[in-house]
Amino acid sequence: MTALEELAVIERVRNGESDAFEALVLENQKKVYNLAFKMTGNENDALDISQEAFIKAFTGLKNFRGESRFSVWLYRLTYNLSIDLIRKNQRNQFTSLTYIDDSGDYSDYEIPDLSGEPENEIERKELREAISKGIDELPEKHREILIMREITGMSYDDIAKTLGLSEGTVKSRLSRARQGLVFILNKYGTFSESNRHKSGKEVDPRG
Amino acid sequence: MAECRKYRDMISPYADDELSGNAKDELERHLEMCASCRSLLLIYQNINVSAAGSLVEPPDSFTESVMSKIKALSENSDAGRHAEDKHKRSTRSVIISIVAAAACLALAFIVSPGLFGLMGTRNSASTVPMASAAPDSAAAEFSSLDAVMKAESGEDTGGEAGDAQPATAGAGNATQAPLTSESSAMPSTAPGAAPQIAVTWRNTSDELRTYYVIFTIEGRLPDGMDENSRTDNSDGTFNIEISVETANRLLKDGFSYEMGAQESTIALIKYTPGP
Repeated sequence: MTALEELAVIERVRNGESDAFEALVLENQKKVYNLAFKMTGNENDALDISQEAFIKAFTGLKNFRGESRFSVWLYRLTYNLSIDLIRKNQRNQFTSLTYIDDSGDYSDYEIPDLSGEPENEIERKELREAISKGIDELPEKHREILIMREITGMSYDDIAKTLGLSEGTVKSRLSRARQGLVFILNKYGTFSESNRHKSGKEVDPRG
Repeated sequence: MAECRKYRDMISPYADDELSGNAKDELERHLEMCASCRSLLLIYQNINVSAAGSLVEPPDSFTESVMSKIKALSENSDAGRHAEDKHKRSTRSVIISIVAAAACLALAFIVSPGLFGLMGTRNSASTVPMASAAPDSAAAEFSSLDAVMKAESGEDTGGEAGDAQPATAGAGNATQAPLTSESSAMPSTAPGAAPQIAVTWRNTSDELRTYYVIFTIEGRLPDGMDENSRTDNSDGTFNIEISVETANRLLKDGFSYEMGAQESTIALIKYTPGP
C-alpha cells in the first residue's frame, strides 16, 4: 500500500467507514504481531498487544497527523504496549536488568571468516535459530533496537522518534547491538566452518 | 586491525542503507581491500535476511478478531454520541487504560454505553458487568480498585485458583458475550461517585504481588505522576504506570464512562478530572 493509498483509507475510516480499517490491519498485522512477539517472547502477550495496538490506532485515528507513515505510528503503539508489559513483568519478578551503555563495545571479538552465505535450507534455518537465540541474549537496549530495525525495517529517523533518542545514538546503538550479536554467535561457533558443515548434527561446544 | 575499528561502526548503517556521502564512499573503498570487514558486512546482511525469514504469521483469526472489536467500538461510539447529546459537559477528558497483569490475571472493566475514543463526556456513568472470556471464570463487581486488590490477594474472590489458562485475551474466543447497548438500562452513577467495576479473572497466581495499572492519558500529566516513566504514543496520548492509590484518586475525581475491548486484558476508562 502506498502512502497515498494509506491516507485514502484513513480518510474513509475517519468518515465513519470503519470496515475500511481492515485494509490497514491486513497490511500491517504480520509485522505488528512479530514485533510484539519478539519483544515479549510470548505468543499470548503478542496477540493481546498486537490486537490492542490496532484498536488504539483505530480509536486514536483522529489524532493521527500523518507526520509519519501509519505503520510507523502503529509500531510505536506496539512497542509502547510491549515495553509497558515487560516493565510490569520485571517489577513482579523483582528482577533488574543490567544495561550496558552505548560506549561499551565488543572490541575483543574476532570477525569470523564467513566465506559465503548459507548454502541450503538447513543452514539457513540453523542460522535463523542461532540469530534469534543470540538476539535474546543481548542487553535489553540492544535487543529492542535490533528487533525494531530487523522486524519492522523502520528508518533510523523513525526509530529515533519512537525510542526518544538522537539519530546518532540509534546508529551507534544498532552497530553495538550487531557487534554484540556477532560476538554471541561467535561464542557458539555459529559461523565456524566445522559447524556449518555439520548440518543437522549435534555440535560439541567444546570443540 | 586498528584501521578496521574505525570502519566497523560504519558497516551497520551501510547495511541498513543509512550511510551516504563521503562516509559511504570511504567505507566502500575500504571494503574492497579488507576481507574481514567484508565478512562483517556479509554477516550483518545475513542477520537481516534471517530475521525477515523468521517472521511468523499471526493466527488465522487475527484480522477477524480485530475487526469484530472495532465494529463493536463503532457501534458503541454511535450509541455514545446520542447519549452525549443529552449529557453535554465541557470538561477536558482523559482516557485511561488499565492493563491487567496478563500472565496472572485478566481484568475487564466494562462499561456502557461505552464510547471508547470519543473525546466528549457524559455527566453520568453506568456500568455493566461483562461476561468473562472463559466460561469457567468468575466475575465480581467492585466499587473501587481497592476491591480489585482484595480480590487479587484472595480475600474476597470468586476467582478460580488452579485454572492455569493464561489471562490473555484469546482472539476469536467464541464464548465471550458481546458488549451491547443494553447497558443503557443499567443504573447510572452520579458524577464523582466511585465507579462500579466489573472484574473477571482467571488464574489467581500467588506471584502477583503488585497491582499494576497503566493509564493511557490524553493531554497533560496529572499531578503527582512521574514524568520519566511515561511512554509517548505520538497521538496526543501517553501511557504511564501508576500506583493503585493514584488510580483510585483519579477515579474518585470522576469519570464519565469507560470501554473495555470485550475480552481484552486492556480496558479503557474515560476519566474526567474534577473542576
